[in-house]
Amino acid sequence: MSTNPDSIALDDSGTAPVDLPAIKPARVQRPRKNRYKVKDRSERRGLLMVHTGNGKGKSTAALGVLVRAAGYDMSVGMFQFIKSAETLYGEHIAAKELGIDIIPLGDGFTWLSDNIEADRALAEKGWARVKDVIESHQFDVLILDELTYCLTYKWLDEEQVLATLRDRAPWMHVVVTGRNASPALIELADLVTEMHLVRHPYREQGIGAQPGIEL
Amino acid sequence: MSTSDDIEPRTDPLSAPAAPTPSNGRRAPVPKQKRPGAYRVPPRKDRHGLFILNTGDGKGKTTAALGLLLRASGRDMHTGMFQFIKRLDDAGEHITAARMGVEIIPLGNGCTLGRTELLDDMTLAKQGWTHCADLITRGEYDVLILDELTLPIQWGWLSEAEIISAIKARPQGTHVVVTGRYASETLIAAADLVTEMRAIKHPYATQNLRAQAGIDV
Repeated sequence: MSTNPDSIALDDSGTAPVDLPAIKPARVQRPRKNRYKVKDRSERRGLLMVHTGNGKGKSTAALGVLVRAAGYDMSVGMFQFIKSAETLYGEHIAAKELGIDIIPLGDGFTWLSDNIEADRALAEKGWARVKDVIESHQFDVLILDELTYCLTYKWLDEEQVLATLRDRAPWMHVVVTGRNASPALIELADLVTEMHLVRHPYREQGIGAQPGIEL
Repeated sequence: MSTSDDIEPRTDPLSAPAAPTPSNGRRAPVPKQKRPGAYRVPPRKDRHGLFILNTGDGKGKTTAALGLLLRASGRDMHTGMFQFIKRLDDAGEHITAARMGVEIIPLGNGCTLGRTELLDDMTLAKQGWTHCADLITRGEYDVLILDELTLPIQWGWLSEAEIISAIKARPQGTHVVVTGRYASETLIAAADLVTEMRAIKHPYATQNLRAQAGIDV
């Protein structure tokens, strides 16, 4: 892995892309060493990040944060509110290899069932678990996937959820994903990105979810 | 990037689609929820190779591409990421990728902000694209991520038409992901899946916080 043009020919066969003029090596302006270090918890400024909007990329970007944080050996936890434990996604398989557990809080039941009380009980059970995790200071980076739906459907008390997030340890990074983030959550957050759908293969071409891309 | 910043419709954009029309005439594979591990990546001839574009000025373009990388590598797909402009090869994502056995290769000379002599950067971008175009044509990767490719296009270093035609001519069933701000209408029209990451709030701007290890690098 180098920016040296001599090593640009990366393929195994050793066949360099031809018809390129010989060029002088690029000057490297600054040392190439990564100067970013994970700060001590006492000096770290934990961010509350919200990924919302109707486009693809909310949970996916949260997974990207997981990838980055895992590289620095930070402890990462991901809890998925809507997704059921019945399905094993690509990210579950890959994260397991990295020693990170992505935990679906579906407990094998289906969310969004006809029984609203069951959904509410499941959400509350999941949130109790997440709250314990927040208070135990276990994770440097905590990802709460699809949490906004629990707030939108009023399964969880928004005041309580926001208070827990506000009172978390100051070094803890939290990522919340899901559509329709409430104004109060956006107000509390440090970083909010709206994933805006411009084109989607399902809408334009009728192509459904595919392994490796959507799941 | 769409210039008209109109209010987005509140209706579900993923409403009922027309009948799937895969390019090879076969019926699209419909994943069914079964026991864990039941999903299988179909062979390339049954896949819909997508051209995915993450653009916009918010955080999450490269980050979402990294999430795709994680997902695809969990499915044992051959995945790779080539980063134009970027120079660091030991940031968090590179360390994780090395552990997963995935290549994330920087092709650039670092951030161009405040630098005036960019001839080397341009040469590196051109060389990098030649290499990536070769990889696309040969179908080396199931999922190939071209990070920050829109920037050299925007600066006129690379020909957009050439890039679009190379990506359009990719072998059946390969996915190509392009990230970066300033994606043009032409590029958006050519892509199958476009997400615009809009910065509603960003701590660089509002709180004067710098990039943090584990989140931004």
